[in-house]
Amino acid sequence: MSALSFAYLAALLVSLAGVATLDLRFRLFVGRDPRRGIAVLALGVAFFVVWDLIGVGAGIFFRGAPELLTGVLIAPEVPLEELFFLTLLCWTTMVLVTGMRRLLGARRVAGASGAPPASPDGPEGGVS
Amino acid sequence: MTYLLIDLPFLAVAIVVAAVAWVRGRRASRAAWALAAVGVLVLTAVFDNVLVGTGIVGYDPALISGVRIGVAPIEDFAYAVAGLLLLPALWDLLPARGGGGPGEASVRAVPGPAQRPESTPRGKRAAGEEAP
Repeated sequence: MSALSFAYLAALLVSLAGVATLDLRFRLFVGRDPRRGIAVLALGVAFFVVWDLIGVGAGIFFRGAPELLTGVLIAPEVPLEELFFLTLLCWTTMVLVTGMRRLLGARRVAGASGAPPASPDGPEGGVS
Repeated sequence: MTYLLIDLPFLAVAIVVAAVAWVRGRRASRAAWALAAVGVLVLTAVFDNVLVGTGIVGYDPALISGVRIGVAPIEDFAYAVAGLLLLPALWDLLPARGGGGPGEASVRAVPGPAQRPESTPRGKRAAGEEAP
């Protein structure tokens, strides 16, 4: 096992550290409500692990590039790194969602001073 | 069983949970969600192209549609879409700590004192620290 074996895991950990920093610094998700945030991450990762296992079971996808992986498996064809990848996917999604809610909410408050209360969907409700 | 067929039930679960959160009265900003969705999909395209390009993940060509974004199979994006539907909905549906109600736009008041008892060892921070 060479240093390269940790290449993918290291990339995931660096990415996770960045997302966690944003989360905790701005108290967006886990940094805002740790128990609820961790519950969402755990449920999300469990959901995606089941999806992975079914995909692997059906022979749709499989791991490759063994030189970039630690070789530790959590299930057949499912490397340890996949848990970190799925956590990164879930955490990134929630930091972006809560971050955008914060940004648009702050803009709405700033723009609505003296104006009647915004509708439940807010002024941008018709965009999507 | 193709990749597309396997994606469908998981997308359906995510849609149902998102619909429940919607019906339960959460009317979070759709613009915020749309902007986050663009971000997640772009990041997925970049990350997945690296994963497929380096060969960390491979696919049985007989079981995928062959439609790709770069080298990433389009079916992989179902993970990102399902996450975008499921995860904010779970966040909004699960009770918030500290009596502030769920999510950024509270619709449910949690009765009782400002701090609910911590029943799991996961709440590591002092509850008084939470001031959204």
